[in-house]
Amino acid sequence: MSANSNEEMLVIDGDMNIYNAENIKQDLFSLLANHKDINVNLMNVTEFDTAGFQVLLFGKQYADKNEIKLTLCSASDAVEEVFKLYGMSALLENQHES
Amino acid sequence: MNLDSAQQGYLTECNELLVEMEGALLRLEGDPENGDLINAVFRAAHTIKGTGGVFGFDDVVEFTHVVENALDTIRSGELKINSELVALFLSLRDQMEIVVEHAVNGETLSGEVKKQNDDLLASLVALTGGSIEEKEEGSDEKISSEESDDGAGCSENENWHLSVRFSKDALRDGMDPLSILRYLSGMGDIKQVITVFDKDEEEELSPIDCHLGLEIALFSGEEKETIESAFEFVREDCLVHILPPRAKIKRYIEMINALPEDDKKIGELLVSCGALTKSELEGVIDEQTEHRFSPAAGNSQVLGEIVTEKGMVQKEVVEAAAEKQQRVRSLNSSAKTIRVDSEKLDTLVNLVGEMVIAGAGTDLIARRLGDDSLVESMSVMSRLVEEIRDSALHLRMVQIGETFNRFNRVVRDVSKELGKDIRLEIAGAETELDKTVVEKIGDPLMHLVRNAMDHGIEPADIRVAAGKPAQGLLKLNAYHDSGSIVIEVEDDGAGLKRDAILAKAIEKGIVANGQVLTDQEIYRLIFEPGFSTAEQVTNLSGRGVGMDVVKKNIEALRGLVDIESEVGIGSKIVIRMPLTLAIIDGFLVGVGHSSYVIPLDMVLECVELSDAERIEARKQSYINLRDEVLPLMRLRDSFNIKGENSGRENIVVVQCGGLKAGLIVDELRGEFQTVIKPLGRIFQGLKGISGSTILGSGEVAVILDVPGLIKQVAEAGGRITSVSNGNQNKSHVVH
Repeated sequence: MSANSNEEMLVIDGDMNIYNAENIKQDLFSLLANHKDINVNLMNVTEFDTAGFQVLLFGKQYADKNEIKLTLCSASDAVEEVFKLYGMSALLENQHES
Repeated sequence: MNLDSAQQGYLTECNELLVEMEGALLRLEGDPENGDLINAVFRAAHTIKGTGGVFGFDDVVEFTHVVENALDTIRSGELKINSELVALFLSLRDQMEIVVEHAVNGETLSGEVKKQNDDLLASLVALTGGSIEEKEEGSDEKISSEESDDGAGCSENENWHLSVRFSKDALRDGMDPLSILRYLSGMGDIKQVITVFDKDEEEELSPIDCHLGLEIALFSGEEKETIESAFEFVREDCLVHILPPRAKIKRYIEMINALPEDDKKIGELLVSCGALTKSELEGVIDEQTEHRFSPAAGNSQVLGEIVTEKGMVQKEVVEAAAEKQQRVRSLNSSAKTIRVDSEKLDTLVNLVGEMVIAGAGTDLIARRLGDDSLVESMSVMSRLVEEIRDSALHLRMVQIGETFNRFNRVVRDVSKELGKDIRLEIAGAETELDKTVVEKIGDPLMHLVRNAMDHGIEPADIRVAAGKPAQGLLKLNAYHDSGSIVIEVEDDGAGLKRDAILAKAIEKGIVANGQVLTDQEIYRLIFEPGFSTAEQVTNLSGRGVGMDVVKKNIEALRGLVDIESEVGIGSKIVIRMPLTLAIIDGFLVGVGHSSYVIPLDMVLECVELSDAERIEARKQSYINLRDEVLPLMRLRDSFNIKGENSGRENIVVVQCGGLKAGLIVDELRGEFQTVIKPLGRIFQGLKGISGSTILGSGEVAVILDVPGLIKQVAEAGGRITSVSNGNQNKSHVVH
């Protein structure tokens, strides 16, 4: 990953579910407010549910509207499964590519 | 939710809509240009179809759809309403009732019903010049011949199409949409999932609210029930649509209609989900572009055009969306009322009745104990109980208007049948009475109305010859009168022929030759069993057909029926019914050791007898009450009570149906609220008693049947004082 001054990395560790989705959303959106290129690393997400999914979806939508580059990368298996179930795998950056 | 109760709800809703539709149709006949009425009819048909579709009642949808289309051509002004069309729509309405009933009962349509369906639809096509048929069948067949070889108007989608919109609370309630997806994937092959998510104000969105919707294409050989089971836990708060493979296009339209998102967007979704092919949607649009947009849907037309351009949604869909808004509005206005099972109300009234008895018992004990504060609090209690009783009874009260309005149709149909021109006038439609009474009064009323039209009102030429307007007039009127409801059926026909009735009665042996009868009594003869039936003689014939049955039915409801008539002017049948069958305010009187209850509504006044009057009253069966003849009845004698009364005697003056009589009792014990316990079968034939009740002390008191007693007084010799028209000359006293 290039060291662009504008690029930010958000690494989410552990669960991303209904219990902490609100907090993660706050983190994500404060990043979105200040940066134009954001990388969300989902490698270490263990539990991932619809609440977590919605956080990423909100973020993605906001980013698209405000011309921010938001990349969801290195999805863990749990994350990948959920995106697949929702027919949204296209939103995930293939980890081998990036 | 219990499916049965939902279906029952559908049935009730349909019946209401059908009644509405009937009313609108009848008014349309006189006011064919009224757009509101046409819309009302259309709306009713549309809602029945739409909701029927939700339940999967295909027969209902199929039949109603054609009707709805025909109505649409009228709505758009292509077709003018005439009486022939109204008549046809009325029969179509009746048929809809049958079809809906079959569907709800889970019966398939019998061949006969199907044939009726086809016949009616055929005549509809004939009357509307085939325009509907082309549109309806055409749109379906075009698709089927070009793209689908399987049934008319079906999508060629091989997959189940499932559409879900989750409630906001789904996640918090522990229902993760993921679990449903996982469950479904175990059931078959999920071909395609589209997650619907179109909220723009993401700032406010909370990730723990569920904002998702799913459009799922599922390839599965499972039964519908099995697939439904996946949604078992979310069904109640979520919007779920399950369309089987090759579902009717109509069903898709209904679904599009029900979904919150923009119709256009859904159309796109369905195409990308593979549920509908583009050509399927376009095929429908080709048909629809031939179909003129109705001017009513002004703003939807714009949307409709955009959509048509994109080849996504058809006009029908757009129109239905406008309809949807209207329905939402009407829902809001009806939210003030709730539906309650009438059984629950009955239970409530029963309980309140028991409470009234228990309250009376407690009151008695309180008085006996003589504890002032206890007596006082009991009196507060009694007042409250009384209020509860009144409002409980009030819950069961319905307006008679609905029953009356049914007769609009009857009068219309019967007058057509008879070739007479008869107008129905309704008054007092807002008069309220007990639901059970309303239900039971329908049949006797129907009989009276038919009779009046058939035999009362003369054919137009005779009417004109008699100097009356050619159009006959039938009046239904209802009003409250001293605790009863009075229902009148009045016609302006020929009236009853007194002499002819008398002659017939003598011939039948009902009346002895030479017996002197008042006009009233003669008219009442038509209610005698055996008087009726038989040969058709003169104008009065048939008038009595089944009149005895009418009378019996009304009397079974503790009601009275009477008749007034004048030759050449018309006749009026007056039915007098108690407002309720359950609880009455009574007036408690004592004779010897027994207690009797007289319905308070019928008590006019109480008079104390002086000794002189007492002796006089003993000799003859009447007294002079303020220069009026008051026939008397000694309850002690008529109920055969032993012993003599030492104290003074009192007269309770009762009134019923315009007649007065005095009942001589020993003791007046005051007002008393009471629950009527019907008499057992053995006692049902007893004269003068209408029921029994239990007093607070646990004793049984007999409820007097005042109308019956008054009749007895009359039979005992004296004619009865008539107060109805103040015409004292007519009612002379014989002793």
